[in-house]
Amino acid sequence: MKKLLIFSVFLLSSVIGIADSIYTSEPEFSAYDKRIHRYRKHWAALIPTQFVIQNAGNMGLVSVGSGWNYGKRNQWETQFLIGFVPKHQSTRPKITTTLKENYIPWSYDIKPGVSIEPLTTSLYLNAIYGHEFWKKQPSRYPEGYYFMSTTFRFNVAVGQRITVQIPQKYRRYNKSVSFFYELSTCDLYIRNKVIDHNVKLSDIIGLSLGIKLQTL
Amino acid sequence: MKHHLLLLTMLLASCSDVFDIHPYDVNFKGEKSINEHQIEKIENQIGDKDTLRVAFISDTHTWYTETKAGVAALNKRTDIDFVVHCGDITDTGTSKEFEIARNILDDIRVPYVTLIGNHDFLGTGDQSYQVIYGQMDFSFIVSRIKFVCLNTNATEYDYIAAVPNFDFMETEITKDSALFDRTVLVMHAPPYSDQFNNNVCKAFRKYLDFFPNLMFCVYGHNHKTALSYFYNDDLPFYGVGSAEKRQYRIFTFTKDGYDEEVVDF
Repeated sequence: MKKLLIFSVFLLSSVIGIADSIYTSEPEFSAYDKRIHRYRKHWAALIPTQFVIQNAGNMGLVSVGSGWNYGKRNQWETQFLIGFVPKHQSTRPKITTTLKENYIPWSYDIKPGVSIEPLTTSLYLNAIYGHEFWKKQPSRYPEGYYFMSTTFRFNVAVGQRITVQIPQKYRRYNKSVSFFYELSTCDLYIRNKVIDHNVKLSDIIGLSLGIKLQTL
Repeated sequence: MKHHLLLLTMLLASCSDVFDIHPYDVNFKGEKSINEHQIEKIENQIGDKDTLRVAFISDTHTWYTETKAGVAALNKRTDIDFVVHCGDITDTGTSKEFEIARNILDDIRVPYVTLIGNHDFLGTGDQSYQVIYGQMDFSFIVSRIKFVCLNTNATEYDYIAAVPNFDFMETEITKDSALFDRTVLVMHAPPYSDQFNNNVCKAFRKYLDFFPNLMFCVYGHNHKTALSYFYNDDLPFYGVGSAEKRQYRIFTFTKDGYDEEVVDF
């Protein structure tokens, strides 16, 4: 598409060139220019477009992070969060990191500048750090002794959002703000429910509240 | 603005149980140091009886329905003086599993004590155990019998910890010796199992000879109701089945000795 555009501009300029020789020196994009353009565009895609803060969700008391949205309707989000687990009654406070993928199938405008996302679905991998945890089973155990890693937890969540566009005159850093909640659980809790069906859903599902600030 | 948000989030998180911080957060409300409180009941309320009846359960893991059935079965009886859980009260050591297990075991009408199993070590599980139940090695005396409960999960420490703790055993051999004539040893993982420090199996056996009139040992871990003689001598090791097997053991102590019984529920 882009090549076609450049080509037609080139063609047009050459046609004009025949008619009027003043325009024959119309600048062309050199290979270097095009390369730099692509270079900037690709690196620019790495600039996070959103900031997220949320509590709980098996990621810590509070987690903060950045993310990117993409897809035709921006229906996909990838977020990277850092969480903080307080000491409570354990020996020390802990840090977690989370890689979170969200899929938001629908968004409806309910009034100018306000939209709701009636369903958000998330899949995320959380890692907790410290000597208490292992990524894979240490060699001191017979093979397959424990089925799981104590560091990594897979989580699933569903939730809802309300998004408010920030009016032009109040915009400082962000163009919109979303308030959301999520109901989530993790692999170990799902396993508990599978092993014993009498485990109450309320025992294994937790609530998380958060705010997403959309910068770009 | 961001500070306010942070404050709000923290406030919300602190005011309710609906927020899950992390599976290994070791954040417990409600009863703690349960073994200490229960031992106080055992030692002060039961006193010296001619016939003492003790129930042993083990490896309840996340078989909650079976565990509840077991607790109900124990509660129906009026002849049990106290209950011993031989460890593995959780499956993955999460704080949630510790809470659910505590709620179920709390329904046991008579006093009960709980040992730590290898699964209870996973993640921060050992810390959770210490908060909710207390010391990993403990003992108590009732009806002139000393019950010595030992942490034998050496593999969880990669064998670098004092497990089994010989110093503790040595102390228990002589401590309060005027108050007991017989001994019962309880552990989660038995000698020669994948959790025991098998380099000291024979040394461990030698130490057992110093306990005044050691009658027998009780263990869990293998999920099987069994009677084993691990050292090919006259010291019996009674294996207690997992909750899934729906069996518990009863030991009835009289002045002359003891009787044992396996009960299905």
